[in-house]
Amino acid sequence: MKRVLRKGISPVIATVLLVAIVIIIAFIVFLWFKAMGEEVITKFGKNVELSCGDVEFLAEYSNGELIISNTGNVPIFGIKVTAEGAGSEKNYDLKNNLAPEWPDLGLNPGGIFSADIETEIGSAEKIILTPVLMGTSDRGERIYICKGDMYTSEIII
Amino acid sequence: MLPQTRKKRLSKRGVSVVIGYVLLVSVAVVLGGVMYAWMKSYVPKESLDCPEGSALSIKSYVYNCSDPSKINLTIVNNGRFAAAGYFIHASNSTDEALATIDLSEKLIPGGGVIKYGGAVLLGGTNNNTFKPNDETTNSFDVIALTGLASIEISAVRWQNYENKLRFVNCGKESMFKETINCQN
Repeated sequence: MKRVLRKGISPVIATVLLVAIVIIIAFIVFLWFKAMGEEVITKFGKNVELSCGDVEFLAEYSNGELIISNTGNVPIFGIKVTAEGAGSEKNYDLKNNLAPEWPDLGLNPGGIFSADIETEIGSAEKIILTPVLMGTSDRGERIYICKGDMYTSEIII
Repeated sequence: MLPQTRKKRLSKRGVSVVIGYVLLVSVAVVLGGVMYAWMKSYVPKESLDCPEGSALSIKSYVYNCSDPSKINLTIVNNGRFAAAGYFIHASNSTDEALATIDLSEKLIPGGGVIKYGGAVLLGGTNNNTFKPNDETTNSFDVIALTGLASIEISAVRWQNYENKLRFVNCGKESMFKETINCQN
Protein backbone atom coordinates (compact mmCIF):
# COMPACT_ATOMS: atom_id res chain seq x y z
CA MET A 1 0.00 0.00 0.00
CA LYS A 2 2.77 2.41 0.92
CA ARG A 3 4.56 1.66 -2.31
CA VAL A 4 1.47 2.66 -4.31
CA LEU A 5 1.16 6.00 -2.47
CA ARG A 6 4.79 6.85 -3.03
CA LYS A 7 4.34 6.55 -6.78
CA GLY A 8 1.77 9.40 -6.99
CA ILE A 9 -0.46 9.92 -10.03
CA SER A 10 0.81 8.71 -13.33
CA PRO A 11 2.48 11.20 -15.72
CA VAL A 12 -0.30 10.65 -18.24
CA ILE A 13 -3.04 11.64 -15.77
CA ALA A 14 -0.96 14.60 -14.56
CA THR A 15 -0.55 15.83 -18.14
CA VAL A 16 -4.24 15.40 -18.87
CA LEU A 17 -5.14 17.31 -15.68
CA LEU A 18 -2.69 20.07 -16.53
CA VAL A 19 -4.02 20.46 -20.06
CA ALA A 20 -7.62 20.39 -18.81
CA ILE A 21 -6.92 23.10 -16.22
CA VAL A 22 -5.18 25.29 -18.79
CA ILE A 23 -8.10 24.94 -21.22
CA ILE A 24 -10.64 25.80 -18.51
CA ILE A 25 -8.66 28.85 -17.36
CA ALA A 26 -8.19 30.00 -20.94
CA PHE A 27 -11.96 29.66 -21.53
CA ILE A 28 -12.76 31.68 -18.39
CA VAL A 29 -10.32 34.44 -19.40
CA PHE A 30 -11.80 34.42 -22.92
CA LEU A 31 -15.35 34.83 -21.56
CA TRP A 32 -14.19 37.62 -19.24
CA PHE A 33 -12.56 39.61 -22.04
CA LYS A 34 -15.50 38.94 -24.35
CA ALA A 35 -17.92 40.26 -21.75
CA MET A 36 -15.80 43.39 -21.31
CA GLY A 37 -15.71 43.95 -25.06
CA GLU A 38 -19.47 43.70 -25.41
CA GLU A 39 -20.09 46.29 -22.75
CA VAL A 40 -18.34 49.03 -24.72
CA ILE A 41 -21.04 51.33 -26.13
CA THR A 42 -19.85 54.12 -28.39
CA LYS A 43 -21.42 57.26 -29.76
CA PHE A 44 -19.74 59.47 -32.36
CA GLY A 45 -16.71 57.17 -32.22
CA LYS A 46 -16.05 57.54 -28.53
CA ASN A 47 -17.29 55.82 -25.40
CA VAL A 48 -20.84 56.82 -24.59
CA GLU A 49 -19.73 57.80 -21.09
CA LEU A 50 -17.69 60.58 -22.66
CA SER A 51 -20.65 61.63 -24.82
CA CYS A 52 -22.69 62.06 -21.63
CA GLY A 53 -20.33 64.91 -20.76
CA ASP A 54 -21.23 66.63 -24.05
CA VAL A 55 -25.00 66.55 -23.39
CA GLU A 56 -26.44 70.02 -22.78
CA PHE A 57 -30.07 70.69 -22.06
CA LEU A 58 -32.26 73.21 -20.27
CA ALA A 59 -35.31 72.12 -18.31
CA GLU A 60 -38.18 73.94 -16.68
CA TYR A 61 -41.32 72.90 -14.85
CA SER A 62 -44.17 75.37 -14.51
CA ASN A 63 -47.92 74.94 -14.09
CA GLY A 64 -47.57 71.18 -14.45
CA GLU A 65 -45.74 71.46 -17.75
CA LEU A 66 -42.25 70.05 -18.18
CA ILE A 67 -40.17 71.78 -20.87
CA ILE A 68 -36.86 70.37 -22.11
CA SER A 69 -34.63 72.12 -24.64
CA ASN A 70 -31.66 70.33 -26.19
CA THR A 71 -29.03 73.06 -26.41
CA GLY A 72 -26.11 70.77 -27.18
CA ASN A 73 -25.02 68.65 -30.12
CA VAL A 74 -25.85 65.20 -28.79
CA PRO A 75 -29.35 63.83 -29.51
CA ILE A 76 -31.11 62.97 -26.24
CA PHE A 77 -32.78 59.61 -26.82
CA GLY A 78 -34.79 59.64 -23.61
CA ILE A 79 -35.10 61.08 -20.14
CA LYS A 80 -35.39 59.26 -16.83
CA VAL A 81 -37.51 61.26 -14.41
CA THR A 82 -37.11 60.83 -10.66
CA ALA A 83 -39.83 62.54 -8.65
CA GLU A 84 -38.98 63.05 -5.00
CA GLY A 85 -41.72 63.86 -2.51
CA ALA A 86 -42.11 63.69 1.25
CA GLY A 87 -40.26 60.46 2.03
CA SER A 88 -40.98 58.94 -1.34
CA GLU A 89 -39.16 58.56 -4.62
CA LYS A 90 -40.63 57.41 -7.90
CA ASN A 91 -38.80 56.69 -11.13
CA TYR A 92 -40.34 57.13 -14.55
CA ASP A 93 -39.30 56.85 -18.15
CA LEU A 94 -40.48 60.09 -19.74
CA LYS A 95 -41.71 58.51 -22.99
CA ASN A 96 -43.13 55.27 -21.62
CA ASN A 97 -44.69 56.56 -18.39
CA LEU A 98 -45.30 60.28 -18.65
CA ALA A 99 -45.25 61.70 -22.16
CA PRO A 100 -45.81 59.28 -25.08
CA GLU A 101 -45.45 62.21 -27.48
CA TRP A 102 -41.69 62.35 -26.79
CA PRO A 103 -40.01 61.88 -30.23
CA ASP A 104 -39.35 58.22 -31.10
CA LEU A 105 -35.78 58.97 -32.16
CA GLY A 106 -35.14 61.33 -29.28
CA LEU A 107 -34.78 65.08 -28.99
CA ASN A 108 -32.40 66.35 -31.65
CA PRO A 109 -29.98 69.24 -31.13
CA GLY A 110 -31.91 72.49 -31.09
CA GLY A 111 -35.16 70.65 -30.40
CA ILE A 112 -37.59 71.56 -27.67
CA PHE A 113 -40.23 69.42 -25.97
CA SER A 114 -43.05 70.18 -23.58
CA ALA A 115 -45.64 67.99 -21.92
CA ASP A 116 -48.12 68.18 -19.09
CA ILE A 117 -47.01 65.70 -16.44
CA GLU A 118 -48.76 67.13 -13.40
CA THR A 119 -51.15 64.19 -12.98
CA GLU A 120 -48.37 61.62 -12.74
CA ILE A 121 -45.89 63.72 -10.78
CA GLY A 122 -48.52 64.74 -8.23
CA SER A 123 -47.14 66.28 -5.07
CA ALA A 124 -43.46 65.80 -5.81
CA GLU A 125 -41.18 68.49 -4.42
CA LYS A 126 -38.23 67.86 -6.67
CA ILE A 127 -37.74 66.39 -10.14
CA ILE A 128 -34.42 64.97 -11.28
CA LEU A 129 -33.94 64.53 -15.03
CA THR A 130 -31.31 62.07 -16.26
CA PRO A 131 -30.49 61.96 -19.98
CA VAL A 132 -30.51 58.63 -21.82
CA LEU A 133 -28.38 58.24 -24.94
CA MET A 134 -28.51 55.78 -27.82
CA GLY A 135 -25.15 54.29 -28.72
CA THR A 136 -23.83 51.34 -30.67
CA SER A 137 -22.05 48.23 -29.53
CA ASP A 138 -21.11 44.90 -31.10
CA ARG A 139 -24.66 43.75 -30.42
CA GLY A 140 -26.26 46.73 -32.23
CA GLU A 141 -27.96 49.78 -30.82
CA ARG A 142 -27.94 50.07 -27.04
CA ILE A 143 -29.31 52.69 -24.69
CA TYR A 144 -27.16 54.15 -21.96
CA ILE A 145 -28.32 56.11 -18.92
CA CYS A 146 -25.93 58.94 -18.07
CA LYS A 147 -25.51 58.16 -14.39
CA GLY A 148 -23.91 60.75 -12.19
CA ASP A 149 -24.86 64.09 -10.67
CA MET A 150 -22.87 66.03 -13.26
CA TYR A 151 -25.18 64.88 -16.06
CA THR A 152 -28.55 65.33 -14.34
CA SER A 153 -30.76 68.39 -13.97
CA GLU A 154 -32.68 69.10 -10.77
CA ILE A 155 -35.86 71.13 -10.68
CA ILE A 156 -37.28 72.25 -7.35
CA ILE A 157 -41.05 72.54 -7.63
CA MET B 1 24.09 4.54 -19.91
CA LEU B 2 25.73 7.37 -21.77
CA PRO B 3 22.64 8.45 -23.78
CA GLN B 4 20.51 8.58 -20.58
CA THR B 5 23.08 10.81 -18.83
CA ARG B 6 23.15 13.14 -21.81
CA LYS B 7 19.34 13.33 -21.90
CA LYS B 8 19.24 14.39 -18.26
CA ARG B 9 21.74 17.20 -18.93
CA LEU B 10 19.72 18.46 -21.88
CA SER B 11 16.43 18.61 -19.94
CA LYS B 12 18.04 20.66 -17.19
CA ARG B 13 18.80 23.45 -19.66
CA GLY B 14 15.10 24.30 -20.13
CA VAL B 15 13.82 26.74 -22.83
CA SER B 16 16.55 28.62 -24.65
CA VAL B 17 17.10 32.30 -23.84
CA VAL B 18 16.06 33.39 -27.34
CA ILE B 19 12.76 31.47 -27.21
CA GLY B 20 12.17 32.89 -23.73
CA TYR B 21 12.53 36.44 -25.03
CA VAL B 22 10.32 35.72 -28.05
CA LEU B 23 7.60 34.32 -25.79
CA LEU B 24 7.88 37.29 -23.41
CA VAL B 25 7.66 39.87 -26.19
CA SER B 26 4.77 37.99 -27.88
CA VAL B 27 2.78 37.88 -24.65
CA ALA B 28 3.43 41.59 -24.05
CA VAL B 29 2.35 42.51 -27.61
CA VAL B 30 -0.83 40.43 -27.38
CA LEU B 31 -1.73 41.94 -23.98
CA GLY B 32 -1.00 45.43 -25.33
CA GLY B 33 -3.32 44.81 -28.30
CA VAL B 34 -6.10 43.53 -26.06
CA MET B 35 -5.78 46.52 -23.73
CA TYR B 36 -5.73 48.96 -26.66
CA ALA B 37 -8.88 47.43 -28.17
CA TRP B 38 -10.61 47.68 -24.81
CA MET B 39 -9.49 51.21 -23.89
CA LYS B 40 -9.45 53.00 -27.25
CA SER B 41 -13.05 54.16 -26.92
CA TYR B 42 -12.11 56.00 -23.72
CA VAL B 43 -9.62 58.26 -25.50
CA PRO B 44 -11.23 61.73 -25.37
CA LYS B 45 -11.93 63.39 -28.70
CA GLU B 46 -12.58 66.98 -29.52
CA SER B 47 -16.17 67.95 -28.75
CA LEU B 48 -18.47 69.17 -31.48
CA ASP B 49 -18.78 72.86 -30.62
CA CYS B 50 -18.95 76.19 -32.36
CA PRO B 51 -15.92 78.44 -32.03
CA GLU B 52 -16.19 80.82 -29.10
CA GLY B 53 -17.72 84.08 -30.29
CA SER B 54 -20.39 82.68 -32.59
CA ALA B 55 -23.48 84.80 -31.99
CA LEU B 56 -26.58 86.15 -33.68
CA SER B 57 -29.08 88.65 -32.36
CA ILE B 58 -32.44 90.15 -33.30
CA LYS B 59 -31.74 93.72 -34.35
CA SER B 60 -35.37 94.68 -34.83
CA TYR B 61 -38.80 93.26 -35.47
CA VAL B 62 -42.14 94.28 -36.95
CA TYR B 63 -45.20 92.83 -35.24
CA ASN B 64 -48.62 94.44 -35.28
CA CYS B 65 -51.03 93.06 -32.72
CA SER B 66 -53.99 94.42 -34.70
CA ASP B 67 -52.92 92.14 -37.55
CA PRO B 68 -50.88 89.41 -35.83
CA SER B 69 -50.55 87.18 -38.86
CA LYS B 70 -46.88 87.82 -39.53
CA ILE B 71 -43.71 88.86 -37.77
CA ASN B 72 -40.65 90.18 -39.56
CA LEU B 73 -37.33 89.71 -37.80
CA THR B 74 -34.10 91.41 -38.75
CA ILE B 75 -31.28 89.13 -37.68
CA VAL B 76 -27.70 90.35 -37.43
CA ASN B 77 -24.49 88.37 -37.03
CA ASN B 78 -22.81 90.15 -34.13
CA GLY B 79 -20.28 87.38 -33.56
CA ARG B 80 -16.78 86.83 -34.88
CA PHE B 81 -17.56 83.85 -37.13
CA ALA B 82 -19.84 83.19 -40.07
CA ALA B 83 -23.03 81.24 -39.32
CA ALA B 84 -25.25 78.99 -41.38
CA GLY B 85 -28.53 79.99 -39.76
CA TYR B 86 -30.37 79.72 -36.48
CA PHE B 87 -32.78 77.78 -34.34
CA ILE B 88 -35.79 79.89 -33.45
CA HIS B 89 -38.40 79.31 -30.74
CA ALA B 90 -41.21 81.51 -29.53
CA SER B 91 -43.26 81.74 -26.37
CA ASN B 92 -46.76 83.08 -25.94
CA SER B 93 -46.54 83.11 -22.18
CA THR B 94 -44.58 85.45 -19.97
CA ASP B 95 -44.49 82.77 -17.24
CA GLU B 96 -42.27 80.40 -19.21
CA ALA B 97 -38.55 80.97 -19.11
CA LEU B 98 -38.05 78.68 -22.13
CA ALA B 99 -39.70 79.32 -25.47
CA THR B 100 -41.46 76.15 -26.61
CA ILE B 101 -42.90 76.90 -30.05
CA ASP B 102 -40.68 75.99 -32.98
CA LEU B 103 -40.94 78.99 -35.31
CA SER B 104 -38.87 77.40 -38.08
CA GLU B 105 -42.06 75.56 -39.05
CA LYS B 106 -43.70 78.95 -39.59
CA LEU B 107 -40.98 80.35 -41.84
CA ILE B 108 -42.24 82.09 -44.96
CA PRO B 109 -39.66 80.87 -47.51
CA GLY B 110 -37.92 83.23 -49.86
CA GLY B 111 -34.54 84.66 -50.79
CA GLY B 112 -32.70 81.36 -50.42
CA VAL B 113 -33.83 80.87 -46.84
CA ILE B 114 -34.85 77.30 -46.08
CA LYS B 115 -35.91 75.06 -43.19
CA TYR B 116 -33.46 72.31 -42.25
CA GLY B 117 -33.39 70.04 -39.21
CA GLY B 118 -35.58 72.34 -37.14
CA ALA B 119 -33.44 75.35 -38.06
CA VAL B 120 -33.62 78.23 -40.50
CA LEU B 121 -30.69 78.13 -42.94
CA LEU B 122 -29.63 81.32 -44.67
CA GLY B 123 -27.31 79.93 -47.33
CA GLY B 124 -27.91 76.34 -48.31
CA THR B 125 -27.04 73.08 -46.67
CA ASN B 126 -23.25 73.20 -46.59
CA ASN B 127 -22.09 76.78 -46.23
CA ASN B 128 -21.64 79.32 -43.45
CA THR B 129 -22.65 82.26 -45.62
CA PHE B 130 -23.97 84.62 -42.94
CA LYS B 131 -20.81 86.56 -42.19
CA PRO B 132 -20.09 88.86 -39.22
CA ASN B 133 -22.10 92.12 -39.39
CA ASP B 134 -24.37 90.68 -42.12
CA GLU B 135 -28.08 91.36 -41.71
CA THR B 136 -31.13 89.56 -43.03
CA THR B 137 -34.87 89.94 -42.60
CA ASN B 138 -37.00 86.81 -42.35
CA SER B 139 -40.76 86.54 -42.05
CA PHE B 140 -42.79 84.05 -40.04
CA ASP B 141 -46.45 83.20 -40.21
CA VAL B 142 -47.66 83.50 -36.63
CA ILE B 143 -51.39 83.74 -37.23
CA ALA B 144 -52.03 80.63 -35.12
CA LEU B 145 -50.10 81.99 -32.16
CA THR B 146 -51.92 84.25 -29.81
CA GLY B 147 -50.11 86.74 -27.65
CA LEU B 148 -46.55 86.29 -28.88
CA ALA B 149 -44.44 87.15 -25.82
CA SER B 150 -40.81 86.39 -26.66
CA ILE B 151 -38.53 84.88 -29.28
CA GLU B 152 -35.24 83.03 -28.75
CA ILE B 153 -32.64 82.35 -31.40
CA SER B 154 -29.36 80.46 -31.28
CA ALA B 155 -26.78 80.15 -34.06
CA VAL B 156 -25.99 77.03 -36.09
CA ARG B 157 -22.92 76.35 -38.20
CA TRP B 158 -21.51 73.78 -40.62
CA GLN B 159 -18.21 72.44 -39.35
CA ASN B 160 -15.77 69.77 -40.38
CA TYR B 161 -15.55 67.08 -37.74
CA GLU B 162 -13.48 63.98 -38.40
CA ASN B 163 -13.53 64.67 -42.15
CA LYS B 164 -17.30 65.02 -42.23
CA LEU B 165 -19.38 68.15 -42.57
CA ARG B 166 -21.54 68.31 -39.45
CA PHE B 167 -24.44 70.55 -38.52
CA VAL B 168 -23.55 72.17 -35.19
CA ASN B 169 -25.79 73.83 -32.65
CA CYS B 170 -23.94 76.73 -31.03
CA GLY B 171 -26.14 76.27 -27.94
CA LYS B 172 -26.63 78.32 -24.82
CA GLU B 173 -23.57 80.50 -25.41
CA SER B 174 -25.09 81.93 -28.58
CA MET B 175 -28.68 82.17 -27.36
CA PHE B 176 -30.43 85.52 -27.74
CA LYS B 177 -33.86 86.35 -26.34
CA GLU B 178 -36.09 89.22 -27.44
CA THR B 179 -39.30 90.28 -25.71
CA ILE B 180 -42.03 90.99 -28.22
CA ASN B 181 -44.34 93.99 -27.77
CA CYS B 182 -47.11 95.28 -29.97
CA GLN B 183 -46.03 98.08 -32.26
CA ASN B 184 -49.37 99.73 -32.94
